[in-house]
Amino acid sequence: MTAPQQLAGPVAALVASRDGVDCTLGRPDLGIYVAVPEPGVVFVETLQSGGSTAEAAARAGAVAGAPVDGADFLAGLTAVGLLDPVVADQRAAAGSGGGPKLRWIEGVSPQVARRLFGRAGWTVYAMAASFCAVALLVIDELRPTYEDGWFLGDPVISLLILTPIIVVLAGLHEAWHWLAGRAVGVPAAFRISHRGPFLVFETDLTQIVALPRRDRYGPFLAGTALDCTVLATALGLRLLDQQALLDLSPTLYRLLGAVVLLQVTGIVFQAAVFLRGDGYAVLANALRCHNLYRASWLTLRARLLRVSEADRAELAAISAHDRKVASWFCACYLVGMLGVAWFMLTFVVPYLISMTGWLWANLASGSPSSAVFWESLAVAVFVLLTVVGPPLLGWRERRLRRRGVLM
Amino acid sequence: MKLEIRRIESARLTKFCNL
Repeated sequence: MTAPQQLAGPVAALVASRDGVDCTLGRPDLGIYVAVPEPGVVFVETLQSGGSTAEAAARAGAVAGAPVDGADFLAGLTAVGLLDPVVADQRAAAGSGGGPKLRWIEGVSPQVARRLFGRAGWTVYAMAASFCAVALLVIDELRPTYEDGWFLGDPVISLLILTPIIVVLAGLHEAWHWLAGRAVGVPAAFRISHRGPFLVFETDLTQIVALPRRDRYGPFLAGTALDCTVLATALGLRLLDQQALLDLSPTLYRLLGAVVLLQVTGIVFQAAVFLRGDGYAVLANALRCHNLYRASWLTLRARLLRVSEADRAELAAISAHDRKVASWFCACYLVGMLGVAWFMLTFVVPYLISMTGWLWANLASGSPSSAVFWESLAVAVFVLLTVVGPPLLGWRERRLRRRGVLM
Repeated sequence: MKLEIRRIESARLTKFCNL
């Protein structure tokens, strides 16, 4: 029996990779990747070289040391979407779940990108991170406090000026992931997403799973490397000013203080592995997991609530290794999410209530010809986006996940 | 024998931008 003709295109589009005993099959155009045992890769490679299904099963069986069920394997590949028809100009070509490509980075050649992430580049990042750690530990005056956010005295003007700075710093962080991906030949997709109640910028480097695990750490850590470099620069300038070696204007000195606060909180958030940020990517890679976040969520639900048959089947389809790690990681997830809830109730909700009251008073009584009215309106729009954005994005991403296009 | 197929989660790297 030969492979059905309509499968020739999808089978040719499959990319197989080996990393020791870990093997993956993927469709870069769809952003779908699966882990399979080595006979699975042999099976696909045989089909790709023109072999029949029977030949593929025989060769896979020779590697496995036992007869292989080829029809069942093909059905499994079809079920996860790996044998979907090839569509020209696939929108989701860069990652899963779509997301625009940024042309200006596509224009950076891999050779140029590699210069940022060679031995010299990582030496600079490591020195920046070390300087930040020592400076923040040793020098009290450099440590950020939450008041540093209101660097202009007027909280609204501070907020208006900090907003574009936050966007630029977040964009730079993502650009560094992107460039590090470019350096190893992995394209990226960019999107705005959420983690719990927080709005995030997100770079999807899904095709990186076709690389050996040790080659994935650089792109995963690149964003924080850039954050440390920006933080070291801000701390260094403030230190020079404190030592009277540099004379910064008081406003610039305080603005750098706000940047320090933003970067320190940003780096701390990356360490919150339960929020599936960069720290999670590093941890899941080190633990050699494939689908830990979903496994943890399903494990937690099974322990605390009743789960549907579909959820039970989905958890059973995840590897025993991932389920074993999820059995303790789900506790981290629960404690972390309770911490987020406490953080929201203690800090964010009171802030939103006082901010809303203040904005309402300004907008209701202010005249459209006054600066205060427009400042208040701009802040109101930004606050509204950060409040309604996460739940709306969560709803959209759940729909994408059910369709299997965003994991 | 059955060849197991395990879905791999996306590599999604983030930066928080909530003030």
